[in-house]
Parts: sequence; C-alpha cells; structure tokens
Amino acid sequence: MGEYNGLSDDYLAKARSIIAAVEEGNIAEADKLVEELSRCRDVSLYQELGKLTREFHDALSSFKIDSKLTELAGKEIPDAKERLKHVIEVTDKAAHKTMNVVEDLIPLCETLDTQGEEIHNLWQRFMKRDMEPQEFRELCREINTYLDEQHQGTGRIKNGLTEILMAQDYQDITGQIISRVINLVSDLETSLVKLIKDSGAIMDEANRDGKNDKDKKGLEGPQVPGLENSDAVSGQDEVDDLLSSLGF
Amino acid sequence: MKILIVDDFSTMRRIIKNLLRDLGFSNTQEADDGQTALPMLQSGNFDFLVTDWNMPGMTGIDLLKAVRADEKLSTLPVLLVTAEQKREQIVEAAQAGVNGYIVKPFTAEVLKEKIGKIFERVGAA
Repeated sequence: MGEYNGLSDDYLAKARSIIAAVEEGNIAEADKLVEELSRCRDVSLYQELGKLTREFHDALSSFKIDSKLTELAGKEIPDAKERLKHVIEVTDKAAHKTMNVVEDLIPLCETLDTQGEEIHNLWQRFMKRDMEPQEFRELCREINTYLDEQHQGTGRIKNGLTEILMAQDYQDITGQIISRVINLVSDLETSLVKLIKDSGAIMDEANRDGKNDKDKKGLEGPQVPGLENSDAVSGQDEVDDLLSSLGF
Repeated sequence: MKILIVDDFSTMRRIIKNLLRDLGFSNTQEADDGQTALPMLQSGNFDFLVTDWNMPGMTGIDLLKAVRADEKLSTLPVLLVTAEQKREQIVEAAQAGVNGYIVKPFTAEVLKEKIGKIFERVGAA
C-alpha cells in the first residue's frame, strides 16, 4: 500500500500548507491549496479506477482461456455420463448374450453325453458278443439317430461358440469409450487446477454456447446412442451405400 | 494365405483371428499398431491386411497410406475394421485406397462377406 502512504504524505503536506496559509491570513493561497488537494484526490481516484479496470479486464481474458472448463461442464461431462451409461448397457448385453448361449448349450451337451454313454454301453455288449440280432438291429438304428443328432448338436455348439466370441467385442468398444472419459477427467483436472490458480474469476457465460473447439481433426470413436454425430453413418449398410456411391 | 491383424485391443485381435480361422484362414499374425505392423508387412510376405483405424503410435489410415506408398506392398488388399463411422473418414479411407470398410460392432457374416468381395475383386483385377 505504498501508493496510499505516498498519497497520505501528500495530503498531510498539503493540509499543513493550508493551515499555514490560513494562519498567515493568506486566504487566496489557502483556496488555491484546497483546490490542489481536491485535484490530487481526483487523480488518485482515476488511477485506482484505471487499475481496477485493468485487473477486471485481465481476469476476464484469463477466463476466456478457461472456457475449456465451461465446455467441459456444459457439454463434455453430460456426454461422458451418456458414454458411461452406454458402457453399462454394452457390457450388460454382452454378459447376457454369453450366458444365454451357455444356458442353451449346456443341456445340449448333457443330452449328447447321456445318449453317447448309452450307445457306448450297448456297443460294449456287442463287442463282447452279448447281444441278440434283434437288439443289434435296434442299436444300429440308435447309432444312426445319434450320429445325426451329434452332427446337428456340434453345429449348434460351434455357432454358439462363435456367438460367445463375438460377444467379446464389447471390450474394444467400452475400452475406447472409457479411455475417452479418462482423458476428459484429466482435462477437467487440468482446468480446475488452472481455475484455482487464477481464482477470483467469473464464469464466462458468453462462452457456454461458443464454438466447441474440441480437436476437430481427431477421431470420433464409437458412436453412442443419443450422442450420434450427425456426420456419422449408422451402421454397416450405410457404410456400404457410401462406398458404393464412391464407386466401390 | 497369410494375414496380418492389426488392432490395439488384444480382445478384438483374438475375435478377428478366430473368425478368420472359421473362414479357413489359419495363417495369421498380429500387431498392436501401425508402427509394429509396417516392418512386419515389409518383411513378411503377407497376402492380406486387416486393421483397426484408431490406434496409438501409427493409426490404421496412416498404415494404409504407408502400404500404398510402398512399392512392394502397394497392391496388398487392406480391410479396415473400425468404430469410426464419420462420412468424411469413410471417404478418406476410400481415397487412400482401402479395399473394404467394416464398422464395429460387426458380425461374422459381414466379415465373411467383405473378405469374399475383396478376393473376388482382387482375383478379377
């Protein structure tokens, strides 16, 4: 507060001169000094006002840099919540898809196993020549049916295994989404640290609807339901259409 | 038929590897990004490249461009399998000379169909 000390020294000197002038009976000089004193106050007031204006301006412009935070709070955080909800949905779907296939295939395996065991027992008896010709004819029919069912069953098991395999694609999709949310959280952290450093600033409402300057050339990643980019296609059919329009 | 599968997620590489094996292609190798993949391609006599787009290091589109720019590799068939589905990206891939474009998540049928088409076209050329 050196300036104020300088100012009060100035005031004190001027006030003393005024008293001296009045004591001397020099009213004209005293009037002049009073005027000087008041001008001195005005100048200091303008100086203060100027300083305040500059500080305010600096605070505002430093906050424009912080518009990143406004964007994070206004758009990216709600987006991130949708993305994470999508992760829950995708993982839930994958888990159910896998368990449905497993629940479907386990009884099939048990049936095939039981039938196989029965036929195996009969076959053992046949090998030990412990079987009537009529029974053997029946066994042949049973073996024929079993081979047929076994062939169909392994086909179903193979399809089911492919389905289970494909259900694991959630890891790639959710991994990409979660990486993006992690980036967002670290952006948020950086912005908050900056805000704390530059504290005293005000939320710049004007930037809320401002252009969203996220890395324009950057990749979009997986499309999330409800957050689709209008510039993105929605599925393989549209990709195929677009490519065939390009002569593919 | 020797195939290189490039994706930064090992689960996706395994899925593609298993699907390809189902389709009768069992000679596959894997790389986790373009930087690892390019030297493998240059020295490995690969017949087909299946790559993701968004990867750290070198992306799939840069790998595709590098392949097309390489005298020895320029005719290698390339299939992009990616979660990127912006129109301008699909157009960029087409312009860079991609042979097929599959968006994730995809089905085994789609992979089979696209691979079939690619080899039909490559065979006809």
